[in-house]
Amino acid sequence: MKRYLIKQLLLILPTLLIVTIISFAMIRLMPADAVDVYLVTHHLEKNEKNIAVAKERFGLDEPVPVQYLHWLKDIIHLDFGKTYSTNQAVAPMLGKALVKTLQLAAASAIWIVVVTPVLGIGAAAKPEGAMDRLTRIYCLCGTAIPTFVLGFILIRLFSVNWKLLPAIPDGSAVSLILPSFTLSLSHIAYFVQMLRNEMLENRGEMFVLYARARGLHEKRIFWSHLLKNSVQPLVNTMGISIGGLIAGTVIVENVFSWPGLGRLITKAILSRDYPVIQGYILIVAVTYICANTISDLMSAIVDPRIRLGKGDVS
Amino acid sequence: MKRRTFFCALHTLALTLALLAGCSSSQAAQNSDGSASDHVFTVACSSDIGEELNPHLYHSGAALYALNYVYDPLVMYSKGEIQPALADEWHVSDDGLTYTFHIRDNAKFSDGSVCDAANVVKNFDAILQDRDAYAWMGVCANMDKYYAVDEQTFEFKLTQPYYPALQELASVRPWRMLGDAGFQDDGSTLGGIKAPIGTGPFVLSEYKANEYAEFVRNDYYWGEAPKLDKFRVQIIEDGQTAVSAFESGQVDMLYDNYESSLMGIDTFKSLQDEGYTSAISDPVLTRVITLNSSKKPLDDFNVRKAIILGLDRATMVDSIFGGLEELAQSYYWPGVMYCDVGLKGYEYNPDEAAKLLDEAGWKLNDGDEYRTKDGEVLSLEYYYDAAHAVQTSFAQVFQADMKKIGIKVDIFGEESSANSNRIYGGDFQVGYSVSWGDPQDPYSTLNAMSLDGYTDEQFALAPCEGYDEFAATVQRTFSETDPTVIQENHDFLLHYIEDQYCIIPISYQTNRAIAQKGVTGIEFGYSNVMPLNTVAVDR
Repeated sequence: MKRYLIKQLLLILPTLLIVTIISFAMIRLMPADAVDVYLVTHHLEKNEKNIAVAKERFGLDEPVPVQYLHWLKDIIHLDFGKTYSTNQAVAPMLGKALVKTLQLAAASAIWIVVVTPVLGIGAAAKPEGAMDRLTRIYCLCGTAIPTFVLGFILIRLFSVNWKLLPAIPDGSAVSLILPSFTLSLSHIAYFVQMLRNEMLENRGEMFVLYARARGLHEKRIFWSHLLKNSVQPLVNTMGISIGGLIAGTVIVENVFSWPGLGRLITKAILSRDYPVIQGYILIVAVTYICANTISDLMSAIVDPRIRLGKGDVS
Repeated sequence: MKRRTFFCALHTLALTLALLAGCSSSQAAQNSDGSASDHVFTVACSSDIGEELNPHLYHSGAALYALNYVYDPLVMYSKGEIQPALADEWHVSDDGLTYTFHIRDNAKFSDGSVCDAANVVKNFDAILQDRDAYAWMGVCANMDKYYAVDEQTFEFKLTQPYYPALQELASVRPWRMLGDAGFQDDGSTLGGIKAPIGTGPFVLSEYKANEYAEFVRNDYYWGEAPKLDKFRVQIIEDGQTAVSAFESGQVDMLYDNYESSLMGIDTFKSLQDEGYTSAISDPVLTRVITLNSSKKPLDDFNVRKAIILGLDRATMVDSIFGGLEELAQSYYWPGVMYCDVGLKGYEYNPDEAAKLLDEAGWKLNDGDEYRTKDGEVLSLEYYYDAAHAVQTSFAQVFQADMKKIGIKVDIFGEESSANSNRIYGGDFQVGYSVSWGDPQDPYSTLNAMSLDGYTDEQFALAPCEGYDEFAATVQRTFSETDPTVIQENHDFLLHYIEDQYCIIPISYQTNRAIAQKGVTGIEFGYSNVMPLNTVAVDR
C-alpha cells in the first residue's frame, strides 16, 4: 500500500507540469492576445513602440519558455502575479473565488449524497415499477437538458413566479439552493443510473445467492451486501465528479451570478488576463488530480487487487 | 456498524436541516427586504466597480459609473454645454492658454475636509504622474503649469490653445478630485489610494468584489442632496439573470448604457409594456457600419456609394429598435457640440445603387444571384461581435439588403476580443463601430480619425482623396480659439466624412432604464454614467 501511495503521489508533479505547459502555450494561441486587447481597450495605436511597451509591462517580451519558467518560479513561491486589467494580485482574487466555488460544489455534493440513494435504491427496489420509470425519465432529462436552460427554468419558477428563492446571491445560505441544485442535477442523474444498474446487476451475483443460502434475511442481504457492493463504484466515480463539480461551475455561476471561479475565468478569458487564466487552470488541475488520486487510493483501500497490482483474482 | 450507519444518516439529516433552517430564516429576511423600512435600492450592473476606486489611474480597473458617484470634476458637460461642478465660475483667456477656476465655497469632501485650490493642485500633480497613459488627452499633452492663485482660485496654463479643454476636464477620468486623506504619503495615486474620498453625491460604504457595492449619501455634498440615502450596485453579468432578478423584485432598476448592457431591445419593450417605470435618454453616441476603403472592392467610390444607397437604414432601425433609437443621419448627433452642420444623411435608392454598380463594371447577368466582374463575384466579408445582439442584427440586415442589389456578403460572428482586435487593427472590409459618446465626441473621435492606426474609421477614411487635408484640419482646429472658425472647421470635417461614403450612420444609441413601479426621477447624464442623484422610491 505504501509503495502504491508513493507511486500515485509521484505522478502528481509530472501531470501538473504537463497540464500547465499545454495550457500556457494554448492560452497564447487565442485569437487576439493580451497585448492586442490592452491596446484596443486603451485606445492605443498598434505600432511597434506601443506593442513593445505593453509586452514589457506584462512580461511578454521574453520567449514563451522563459515566460513559463518565470511563472513556474513565482508559483512555487505562491505568487500568482498581478492581473493585466486591474493590476491587482491574482492569488487573493483566486482564493476568494475558490472559497465561493467550493461552497457551491459542497452544497451540490450534499444534494448528490442525499438524493442519489433515495432515487437509486427506490428504482432498483422494484425494476419497471412506477418509481423506476419516473427515475429513468428524470435521468434522461437530467443528463440531456443543458445546465443553463435548467438554471433559467428554475429561476423563472422559484424566483420570478413563486418568489420562494432568490435568483441571485443575497448573502444568505438560501442563495445556494438553486445554483447547487442546478449543478448537481446532471451528476445525480448519472449516479442514480449507475447505482440502479449496479444493484440490478449485483442481484444475480453469487455472493447474493450465498447470502440467501446462509439463510440471511432479505433486508440484511439488501442493505449489507447488495447495497454495499453496489455503492463502491460510485465512491470511486464521486472522486472524479468533485473535480467536475468545480470545473463545471462556469455556466452555473454565470447564470446565478455566483461570484466564484467560473465567473472570474469568464471575464479573464474575455480580457486575455493570462495570470488569472493560468492560476485558474492550475487550481482546477490540482483539484482534479487530487480528487482522482484520493479516489484511486480509496479504491486501493477497498480493493486489494488494485493495490497489489495483481488484476482479477477471482 | 448499524450504529455508525445511524449516526451517518443523522449527520446528513442534520446538515440538510441546517441548510433548510438557514433557508427559511433567510427567506423571512428576504420578505422583509420588500418592506419600505429596510429595503436597499438595488441597481444591476454587468461590470464590477473595481477593487479600488482610484479616480486618476488609467489602469485601476475602476468602473466609470462608480467614479462618477464618488468624485466630481471642476466642470461638467451636459447636452452640449459646459456646466459648473466644483468650480462655480471659470474663465478662459483670449489667447486660449490660461484657464482660471473659482472653487465653490461649499465644496467639501466626504470626510469633511475642504476642497480648495491647493487640493486641486495636489490632484493635478498626481494625475500628471500618469500622463503617458493620458497622452491622447490634449490637456495632459499641452499642460505647461498649474498653481493655486489663492485659496479658492486654481489656474493652469497650456503650451498652446486647446479648444476642447473644458470638455475634456469633464471626463469621468482622470480629472476628478480626491480628498487629501486619500493620497499616498508621497502625494501620489499611481501606487493606489488610501480611501475613496470624494466630493460626489455618494460615498462607497461597502464592497464585495464581483458581488456588490453599496453607496450611501454624502452628507457634505455641495449640490442638491440625493433622494436615496443608500443604494446597492449588484454585479450581474448575464442579462437574462438580471432581468429575472428584476422581475423577482431583488433588483429595483436595470440600466443599460455603453458600460453595462443587460437588457435587449425586446426585453426593454416587454418590461415597458408590463407597466414598469421606464426612461430613455437623449442620444449618447452613434452606431455605424464602416466600409474599409483600403480593401478591395471598397476602394472603388462607386461601390461604397452603391452599398450605402442600397441599404434601407430607416427600415433597419425601425425593425431592430422599434422606435427606441432614432435613425442617424450623420456620424454625430446634431446635439453634440459643433455638430449641428445640417447633414441630411444618405437616401435609400436601390435603383441608383444598381446603376452605380453597373458603371463600376459589376454586372448582374441573367439568372445570376450576384454581380460579377471579369469572372469575380462582388462579395464582402462582414465580421461582428457574436455576443452582441444588435451587431448580429445589423450584419443580418446588411447581408439581406446587399443581396437585393447583387452583392454577396458573408457574415462572421466572432468572440468579442478577437473582433475588437480585427476591427481596430483594420483587418476588415465591413464592420460595426460606435462613436465614443459624451463627453469625448466629437473632438476625441475626430482626433483618432486623423491619427494613423487608431480606429476603424481612420482605416476607412485614410485612403480617400483629401484625407491629408482632413487630418490637418482636425489637428489645426484643436489650437483654434475663435468659436466661428472652430464651427467652420467642423462643417468641413463632418461634410468630408459624409462625402467619402465610408461610414454609414445607422442609429443614435440611447441609454435606457427600467425600474420597479413607484420609482421616480430617473434622469440621464452622459454616455457611461448611471446617475442616481434624482432617483426616488415612492412605495
